[in-house]
Amino acid sequence: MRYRLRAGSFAWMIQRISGVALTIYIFFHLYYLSSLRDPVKFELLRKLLDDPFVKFGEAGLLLLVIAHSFNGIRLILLDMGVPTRMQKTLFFIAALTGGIIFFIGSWPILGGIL
Amino acid sequence: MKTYNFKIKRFNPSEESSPQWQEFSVQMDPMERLLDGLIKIKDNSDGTLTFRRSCAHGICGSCAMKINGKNGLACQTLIKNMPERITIEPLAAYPVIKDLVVDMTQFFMKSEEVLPYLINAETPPERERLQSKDEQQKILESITCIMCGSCTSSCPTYWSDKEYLGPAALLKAYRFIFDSRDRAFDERLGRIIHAQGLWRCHSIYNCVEACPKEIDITGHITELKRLAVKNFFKRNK
Amino acid sequence: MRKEVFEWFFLRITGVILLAGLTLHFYTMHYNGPAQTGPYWRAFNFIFLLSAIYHGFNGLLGIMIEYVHSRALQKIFEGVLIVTALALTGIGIYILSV
Repeated sequence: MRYRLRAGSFAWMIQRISGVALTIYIFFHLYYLSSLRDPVKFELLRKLLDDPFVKFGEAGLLLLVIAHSFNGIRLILLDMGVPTRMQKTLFFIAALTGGIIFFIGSWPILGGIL
Repeated sequence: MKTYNFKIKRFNPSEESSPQWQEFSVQMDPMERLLDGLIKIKDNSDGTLTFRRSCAHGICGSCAMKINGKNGLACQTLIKNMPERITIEPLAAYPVIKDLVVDMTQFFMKSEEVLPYLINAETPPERERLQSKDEQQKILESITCIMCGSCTSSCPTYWSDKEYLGPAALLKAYRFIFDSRDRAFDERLGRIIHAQGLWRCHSIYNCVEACPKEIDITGHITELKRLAVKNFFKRNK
Repeated sequence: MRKEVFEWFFLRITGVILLAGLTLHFYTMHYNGPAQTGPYWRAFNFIFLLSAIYHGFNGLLGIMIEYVHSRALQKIFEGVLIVTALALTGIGIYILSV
C-alpha cells in the first residue's frame, strides 16, 4: 500500500516503531536491574556498559526516547486544540529541538569513544 | 497543446490475476483537467479503460483516484499544474472492480454505522427547523463533504484495520453531533467511542491532505475526542 | 461509559508523567544526582514504573488490534500482553523493594 510519505505519516511511523522498541526495552531494563543483588552478575553488567557497542545502544535508546517524547508533545498539543495548519511546523520544531537535545545528551555517553 | 504521459494501473479481477500498468500519450490543452485526459483515452485509444465520473465539477465525488501518489478528484485536477508524467491508480484500500473503479460498499457501510441522518422526534415546526448563524457555522465545514472516499483510502490505520470507522464516517458523526437540530447525542457518541472508532485516529493528517474539499478532517475528529473525554468526566462525577 | 475514552486520555497523562519522570530518572542515574531513598523517592519510582508499563502496554494493545483481526486472536494477544505487563510490574516492585 504505497502512499506519499509526509510529515504527519512519517511522525506516526517513528512514533509507532519507537514505542514498540521502548516497551521491549522496559523488559530488558527491568531484567538486568533485577540481577543487582547478585554481586557477580552486577560486576558483569557494569563491565558490559563500558563496551562501545553498548554505548552506541545507549545513544540509540536516547534517540528513541527523544523522538517518542517530542512527537508525543506535538500530538498532545494538537489534541489540545492547536490547529491542523500548525502540525507540520510543530513537526519540524520537534525534530530540531529533539536533534539538539540528542546531540547534547549523547555527548557524555559517546564522548569517550568518538 | 502539450503531450502528457498517462501511466494507468489497470486491473480486471474477473479475467486477470494481477494489475498491470499501461501507458498512454495524450495531447492536452493547458486549460483541460485530468478527467478530460481519461475521457480522451477512452474515446480515442482504448475504449475498455474504466473509470467513474458523473458531474465532472467536483460535486459528486465519483472520480476520486490516486493521482501521482495522492488521492484527489480527476475533475478537479488541472492539467497545467501537473508534471508531464502522470501516474493514476484506483483508490487504495477498497477492492478494485475494474481499472479505476473501486467497490465502495464498505465505505458507505461505515457512514451507515454513525446514523447519517437527522434524528429529532419533536413535532416539526410549520416551516424549517431553524438554526442560528453560529450554529450553522459550527457544522458548515463538515457539511461540505462529498463522500468521495479519498480520505478513508489515504488513512494508514484503515489500510491495516478495515473495521476502523475511518475519517469520512467520523466527520459525518461530527456533522450530526454538533448539529443544533439533532437530538441523538448519546446514541451518536456511543457509536464512535468504541475501540474501532475515534481512538484509531493517530493524527496522521493524510486525510486532510487528500480531501479535495480541503476539510480539516483530523481537526474535526480531534474535537470529537475532546468532547468524548469531557463527556466522560461529566458523567462520572 | 466506554473504557476506551479513559484509556486514550490516560495514555496522554502517563505520557506527560513519563516525560517528567524520565528527565529526573536520567538525571539521577547518569549525572550522580541525589541518592534515591526515602518515601518520596519510593512513591516517585512506583508511579514512574506503573506509568511506563501502562503507557507501553496500552500502546501495544492499540497497535495489536489494528493488525490482528480475528476476535479470538485479539483476546489471546490481549491476555498475553496483560500477563506480561503484570509480571513486569511484579519484577519492578521487587527491584524497588531491594
